[in-house]
Amino acid sequence: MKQPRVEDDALTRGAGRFLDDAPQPGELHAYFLRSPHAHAKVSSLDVESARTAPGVLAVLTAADMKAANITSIARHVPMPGLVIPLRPPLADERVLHIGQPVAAVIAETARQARDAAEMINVEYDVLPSVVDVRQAIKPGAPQLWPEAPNNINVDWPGPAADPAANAAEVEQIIANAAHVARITVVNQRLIVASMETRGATGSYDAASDRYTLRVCSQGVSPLRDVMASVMGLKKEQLRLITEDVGGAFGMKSPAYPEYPVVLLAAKKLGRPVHWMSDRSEAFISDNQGRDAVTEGALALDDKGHFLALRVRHLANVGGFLSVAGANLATVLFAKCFPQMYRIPKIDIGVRCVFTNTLPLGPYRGAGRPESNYAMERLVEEAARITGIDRAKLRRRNLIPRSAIPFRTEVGTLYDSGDFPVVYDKALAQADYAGFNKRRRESTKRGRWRGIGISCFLEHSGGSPTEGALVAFPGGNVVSLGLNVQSTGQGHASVFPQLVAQRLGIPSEQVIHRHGDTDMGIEGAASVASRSAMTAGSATFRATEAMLAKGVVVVAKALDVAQDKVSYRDGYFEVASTNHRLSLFDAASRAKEMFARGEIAETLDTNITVDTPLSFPNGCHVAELEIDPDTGVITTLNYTAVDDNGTVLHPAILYGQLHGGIAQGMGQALMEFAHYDSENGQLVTGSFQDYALPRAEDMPPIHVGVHAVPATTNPLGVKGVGEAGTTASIAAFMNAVMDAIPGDAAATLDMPATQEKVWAACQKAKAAQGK
Amino acid sequence: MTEKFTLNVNGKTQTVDADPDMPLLYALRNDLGLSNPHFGCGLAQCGACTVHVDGAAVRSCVTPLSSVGNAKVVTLSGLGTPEKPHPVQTAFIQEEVFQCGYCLNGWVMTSAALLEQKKKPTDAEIRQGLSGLKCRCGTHMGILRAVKRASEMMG
Ligand code: FES
Ligand code: FES
Repeated sequence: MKQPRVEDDALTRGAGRFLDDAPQPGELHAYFLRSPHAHAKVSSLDVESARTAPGVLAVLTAADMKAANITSIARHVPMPGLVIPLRPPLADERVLHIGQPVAAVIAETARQARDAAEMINVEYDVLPSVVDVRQAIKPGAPQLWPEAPNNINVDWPGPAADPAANAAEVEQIIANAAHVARITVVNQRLIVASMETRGATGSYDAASDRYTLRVCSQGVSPLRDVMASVMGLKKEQLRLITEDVGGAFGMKSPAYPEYPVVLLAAKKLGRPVHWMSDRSEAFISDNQGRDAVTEGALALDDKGHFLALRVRHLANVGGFLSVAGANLATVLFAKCFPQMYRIPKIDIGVRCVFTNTLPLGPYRGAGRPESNYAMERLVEEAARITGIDRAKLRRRNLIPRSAIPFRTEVGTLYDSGDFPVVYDKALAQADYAGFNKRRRESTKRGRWRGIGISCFLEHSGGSPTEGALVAFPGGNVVSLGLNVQSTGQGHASVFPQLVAQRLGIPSEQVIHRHGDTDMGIEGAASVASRSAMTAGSATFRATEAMLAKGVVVVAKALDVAQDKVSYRDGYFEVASTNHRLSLFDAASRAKEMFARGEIAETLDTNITVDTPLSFPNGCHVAELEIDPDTGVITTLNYTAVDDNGTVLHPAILYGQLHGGIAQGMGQALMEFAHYDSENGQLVTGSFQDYALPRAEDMPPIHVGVHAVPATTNPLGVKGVGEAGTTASIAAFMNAVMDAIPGDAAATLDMPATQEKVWAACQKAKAAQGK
Repeated sequence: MTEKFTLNVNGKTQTVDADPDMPLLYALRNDLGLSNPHFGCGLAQCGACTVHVDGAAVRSCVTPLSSVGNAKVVTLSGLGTPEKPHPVQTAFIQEEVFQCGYCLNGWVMTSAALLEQKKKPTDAEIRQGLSGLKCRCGTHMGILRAVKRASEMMG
């Protein structure tokens, strides 16, 4: 049964309200002058002529920000030894990456602001720069921060209680093992490229001394908290509003330098100040994704059982540390291991490194794809060196259902899952058994066919705390207010439905409200595949709590014992009588009783609940063909069997999986944010140079669902937003490597572009010829 | 140097005072307050700004205002009415294609123009016809289904 999305009618008629669709009365426009250099001293900055240019009302620089006591937007969860350098919204003495904002021009029109910016005179003393994470830790590399010797942002020893002893033990197992698979793989840097770029509109009300920031966020409450702290305000002094958001993928969750600038400018000028990034600006101002190098060693016994895993991960954080930059590369990365497999000993170490590049931030998966990719490349390598069929090798090492709940070596507790069944279903659905026959047919046609398996398991939830507000605005409607922000996940189609079902009323009577801190709802952003489980749980609990209050109110109103009152399908009913009160009547009675001081609260219920992690998992299989003469890859078939727990809305689940798979395919086969190693310029700075998956690239995707409800939340849901990406990267890469005969592709790195694949094919042909 | 332009947009005649080189996109969005089309790249690389000009799908971000003349411009909000949506709009809703919907303008407008030219395109022709468009949410497979469905609906 289809449940059409509530959002689609307005969107399809062009009636969405994205940030740039909501101009504020009297708004001015901001333009940011950005650094053209990867690393330089700002030796002089002269903005005088820009200040008098037509239409210009102000030009802001670091001096203005400092005068207002706004010194740094850097915020990060604390970690031992973590270096968090100051990140001024407008560059002070030094710029550390291209695109770093240096000055902001505020004018009547966007064009006037941009034209005036050309009159700003900045002199730079260019400094040596480094963009590559492996170069940055070499002796003699340019040093970015005095507080971070060797450019080390944090050296994280992993989750073990005694990391050194643990490392020694793992080393011992590796030294004595029958087989050791070793890999070094690169997770190249990616551009997030949401189709709606970033933007923000600041305004200030002098009478109440209160700011408003309209911004494309992924959840207003956490960003309001950070922005209030950046601006030195009390939380109540800052209101955040987010309406429709055109894709985010983690990138729109943090604070960015432009936000405090538009707020301060709005206060200074007494008018709203709007900024919207254009596309080339987005390439050099949005946080970017991935960029890490992983070394892995997997020890196996002679039967192919996994014995121990060692991972050394080197992650780029960019010139400044973004909100989750180090957290995602360490804690979030490590928590995924050992995915679906039983691995008795694990040693993980991560070093995060500063370079002269845009900050790295969460991008769909945020540490999970990096971890899964390393694991599945290791398993593939293990199959290659042991000669054990890769499907059998995986099956042999899966954690059986009987072992669940299962505590992994890194300390994570898997509450639910049925990995062998998920796995078998995926291979059956992909007709793995018939692959060799299909391969022979391809070979006859001169094509090389490959199949790639990727098992995945990730932790979803991230921050556990999330709120929901069930309220009665008057009339026969109930509103559900949420902090989590839909950026394409169809929240309006999912969460109100939960309330409607529980209350037994039509879903049209439940209004979805979101994106406004004035609702007073606490929580974290829509990241880490967390909204369904955390906001879903909060919605569930808020509805129950509201009904419990309703019982008390109705018992008072009708003068009966509370245990005689129950709720069913829109009514509070009194047992063995025909007395009843509708939900909405009860809500207005409660308001009256509250006004008279007879009860402590109305039925409006705003609660915050903590929801533990859940563990989406699955097995994906990609099948493709390569034309060895051209290197062109044609993906023929893609199979995904996933356990995302209880499914709330099938079409949205499929959409999330498809979208995730498309982004994973993009990383595996085409996307690469390439910086010039000499001067730190972003070479791939437009859609001309940076390839995104297109309609004609997409294979048929067959999604199968094997739902094992999570036991950690009342709805039984697990995450789905990142699952497709986490799984698909290795599925595609393993398929490419499988297609190319011999060892020619054994060390292939992403993206497997036509040139690289062609070169590997030539190498394979030469080896075959010998 | 601004000039006066008279535009026929969604069946209404409107005037805009603007630079002749200004892209049609800005006139539609900023001067006429039409919040569709969208800005995606400004360089004809994504399609988010697509409108119909005399029935053809064009990228309004690279269409100078001066080139429009008295051609009929139709934007997404003028493609159908709430009571009578264009079959492509209906098909996209029924196939539950979109996620954030920011890119939607380009796909719907381009598909509608494509189906006007060719009633029953093959899969390959659909993929070809939509090849310049971008959707970061990865709704491509749903889009292909929806265009098929629309082509059936249009008989
Ligand atoms: S905005 Fe016109 S094609 Fe991208
Ligand atoms: S639906 Fe989000 S970009 Fe296409």
